[in-house]
Amino acid sequence: MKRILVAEDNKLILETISHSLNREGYEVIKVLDGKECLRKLEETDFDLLITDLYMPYINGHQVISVLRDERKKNTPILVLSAAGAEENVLKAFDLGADDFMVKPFSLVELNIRVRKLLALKR
Amino acid sequence: MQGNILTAIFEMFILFYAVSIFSIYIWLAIVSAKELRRNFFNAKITRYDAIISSPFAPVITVIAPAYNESLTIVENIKALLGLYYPSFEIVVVNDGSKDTTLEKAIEAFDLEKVPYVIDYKIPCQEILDVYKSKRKAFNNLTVINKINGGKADALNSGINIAKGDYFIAIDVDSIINPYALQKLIKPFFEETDRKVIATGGVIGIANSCKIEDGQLVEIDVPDKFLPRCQVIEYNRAFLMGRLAWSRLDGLLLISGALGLFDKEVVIACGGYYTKTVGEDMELVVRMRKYMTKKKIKYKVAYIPDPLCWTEAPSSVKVLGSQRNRWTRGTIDTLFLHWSIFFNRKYGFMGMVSHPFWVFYEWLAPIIEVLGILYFIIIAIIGEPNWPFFYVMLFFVYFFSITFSTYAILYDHLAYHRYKKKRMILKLLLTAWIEPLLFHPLVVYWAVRGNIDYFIRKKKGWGKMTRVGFAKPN
Amino acid sequence: MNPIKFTSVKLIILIGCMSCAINLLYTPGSYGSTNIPGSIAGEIGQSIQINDSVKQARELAVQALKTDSVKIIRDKNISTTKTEDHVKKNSSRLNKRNNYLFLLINGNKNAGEIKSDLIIYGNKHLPLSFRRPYFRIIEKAYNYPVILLFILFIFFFSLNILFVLLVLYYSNQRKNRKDRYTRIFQKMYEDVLRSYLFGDIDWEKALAKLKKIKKSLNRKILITVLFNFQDNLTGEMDSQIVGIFVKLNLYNDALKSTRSSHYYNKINGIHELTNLYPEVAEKIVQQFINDPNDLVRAEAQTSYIRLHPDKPFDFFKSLTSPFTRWTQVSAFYLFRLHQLPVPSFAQYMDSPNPNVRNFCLRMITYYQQLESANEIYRTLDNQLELTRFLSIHAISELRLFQGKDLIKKRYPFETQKNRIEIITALKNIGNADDFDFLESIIHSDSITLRTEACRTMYYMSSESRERLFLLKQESHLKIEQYIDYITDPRN
Repeated sequence: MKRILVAEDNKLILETISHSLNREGYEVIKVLDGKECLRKLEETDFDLLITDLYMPYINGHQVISVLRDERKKNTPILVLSAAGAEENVLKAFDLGADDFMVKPFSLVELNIRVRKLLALKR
Repeated sequence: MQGNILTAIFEMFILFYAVSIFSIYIWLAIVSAKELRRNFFNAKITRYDAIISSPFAPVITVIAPAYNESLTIVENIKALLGLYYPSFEIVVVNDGSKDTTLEKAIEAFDLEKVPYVIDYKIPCQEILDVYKSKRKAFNNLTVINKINGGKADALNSGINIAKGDYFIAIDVDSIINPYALQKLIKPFFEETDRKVIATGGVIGIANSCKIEDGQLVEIDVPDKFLPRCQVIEYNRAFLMGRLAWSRLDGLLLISGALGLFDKEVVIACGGYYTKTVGEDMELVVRMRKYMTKKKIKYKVAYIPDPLCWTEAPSSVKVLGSQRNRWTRGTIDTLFLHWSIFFNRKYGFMGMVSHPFWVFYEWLAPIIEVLGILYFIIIAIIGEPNWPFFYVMLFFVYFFSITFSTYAILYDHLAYHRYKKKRMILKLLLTAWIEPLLFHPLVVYWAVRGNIDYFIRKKKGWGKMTRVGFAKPN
Repeated sequence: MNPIKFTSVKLIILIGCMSCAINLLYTPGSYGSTNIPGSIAGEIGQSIQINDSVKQARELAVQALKTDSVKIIRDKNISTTKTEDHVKKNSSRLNKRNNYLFLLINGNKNAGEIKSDLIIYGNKHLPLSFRRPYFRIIEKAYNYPVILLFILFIFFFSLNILFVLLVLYYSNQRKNRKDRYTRIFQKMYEDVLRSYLFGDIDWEKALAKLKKIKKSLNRKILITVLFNFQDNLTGEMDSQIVGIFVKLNLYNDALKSTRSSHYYNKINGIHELTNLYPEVAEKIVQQFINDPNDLVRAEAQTSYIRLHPDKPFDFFKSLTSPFTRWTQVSAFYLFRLHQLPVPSFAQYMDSPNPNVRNFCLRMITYYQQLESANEIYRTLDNQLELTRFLSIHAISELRLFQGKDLIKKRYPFETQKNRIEIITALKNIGNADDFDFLESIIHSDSITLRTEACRTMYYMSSESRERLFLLKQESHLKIEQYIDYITDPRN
């Protein structure tokens, strides 16, 4: 079973995403901020990371940068954020994110994108 | 002894002064309450999701002057990188630090020198090098290395490099609320017939608060007595004083720890004045003068949210040097812009704010000390009216306590900052002791500040030692 | 509204009254020096010694009142010595002063009468042992009216402090309790609604699980939860959320909010109705478009945009109030969010409202509405610097080559900021004809303009770049420095 790490500081949306992904048959680990996210990533490997940008302690951009540049991991990254300004999107992709979804988002679309990203052979 | 006319006049004056200062403070408190209420409700209905995803969000430059901050510089910059705003840049100005501030930053953020052409729009000490990061994750970070010139000069050099239309001047060791930029830019976007030139915020005291990785996790009342007194003092100043002044359009001071400014107006005014220790207040007054001279309608706004948390001095020496500096800064600003005093042309600022600052902020400690001396003389050589004296003493003491208590109430009702009963109780008890122990110290330092300014002509900053947030509490 | 004038008048009156009161109460030798410098209440009590002759005069006056006869004073007043004249003056002055105070308090009753009344009362009704202290208190009170006033003040302040302590205590309890309550019910509602939205449970079961939805606080929590869902999720969930809102009759609460007199409730009501019950919202929102309160108006405007996809900005035509940048940002956000069809903004460009014009320029630029070229050119000489800036920016972004000569012509008259924009525009729409113009800027004094001109010449075309390299020969210009600077992508 594929393991997905979801980092999101809005508890309701975190639960909703997790619920939706669980239904699709994935195992979901939930974290509420960037520091916790990096810690979990260090403990085990994940098949996919879904992260918000504006989170306490360490924001999404830094998480992506640490994962790609310092730890050199290839985990597919999907950014899911309300801050969809162009600068943020471009920076996320520049740093190595694979996809960017702006909030408000559709759960159906999220599932499709997740499926696509997990299928990508890296 | 005949009824001396001079003494009678002096006493009348002191009495009038006392009564007027009480009345004004009561009036300011009432106006502040109204403004606090308005801000409280406005904050509840404002949504920020539009600005954080907007292509029209203006670029804001965060300018952080740093001098000998090697203990905490990396942590502070990391915290600044996490601000919740889509288009901002950070300019850290290394003002000729004698320690490893610059080296630590270069190492932590993978910085390298970049070729730079600098337009010195505001004259400042030479900028030696400009550093940017090799890593894309830090692409909005710029570090400047320059020859030492003081805080005002460092800010000016930051303004010269800044790309944004607005800049926010901060102290690099304060903790900025991640939502600060969104909230501070809002007043600039909400006025149409007046140009907003600056916005200030409330400073909270972070002593004894739980801080992790440059973020405020838990708010608590400071353990030590001096910072606790300062909490009450800040509450009074910010929530019962500045709020009212901002509503009346008479705000003369935006704290140097947090203020968002319109860059173009600041450059047009000539930037920060480097030969004063009160550069934050001096700039605001000069900006106001400039806008009045140009006959452009303007506004200085104020957000009463606690958006910035800073470490308050906890030792008598450092606190004394800070208050001394504040006094000298105030005097400097008032005198540099004496033309505003009771000048109709400058509207409310000229007729009310500036005179108020002269009489009730600058002269107040002096008059207080003169009064004490007078009483002591009378007590020695004559027959003071003791019953009356006691009554007056208690009256003033009670007024002070009541005022501080109301300040605690304002803060509690609006922000519920200190949630536990024991925290509020601690503050209330401090309010009772503060007039006896803390206030005399403040008056003493203020008078010393005056002496230093006028007699000893002292102009510098004095010693500031950093404890830093990295150390365990 | 001009709060400034009003409150300064109030202040002057207040100080005037207090000074008058103090003047009247002034007995020589009593005052307090106090101040609250900056933000602190200091306290110094002071007093001076009472003048001897005045003391005498006072005693005389007191005696006179006690015995309810003026004979003594008259007898004393027969004396013609200077000191006694002085005493007389002082005593009568004192009398007058005391009289004023009591007149203030008691209307027209003679002060002496009240005192004698009190003494008679004491003589008649009070037991002997109480009489002495009672008379002493009366004497003291009549001697030191100021003390009376200040004792009153002390009581007043003590009451204040008690009041604040009580408010703090109960408010703190209430807030903490409310926080806890909200947290519990918020979690409950979130779980239930989430299960419902995912189809795990049906409506009846969900309704059964939603406890206490009749209380207004809980309804507020429900609305918050619904908004949390709606702000973050789109798609089929959206219509379900609207369904929940209607089924629970929450729209009645929203309607009630819009009818409240407090602007804060009105705005919340409009927002709730617009997002959670759009069909009804349209009629309600209409009445707030010209509300006197700025914020209500702004909310109504953004709602209007959302509710009228076919003509979202028609209210521009009748707009008399400002359209702030904040509202513009919100409007644009909503517009994009709900994927409303983009109207041609050129039709609103002739609005007398400058905010509307600026907004249209921004929209035209963003949505690349090339057909609006003529309207853009017309705003090039607008009196507002910002409008001109946006106009130049539009010409640049839309690649309107016909505008190039127009903006070049305007260059000498423009502000620094707009000049930078003109030079940057040439990067997109410039050609060989502009080389001389750009070169002259490079030879000018302003470093900023020089930098921008170099940047434009470097990136415009390969010919312009070569022309720029030719300038390297003029060593005083230090072109290499500029090129190094502009070619670093981080700058």
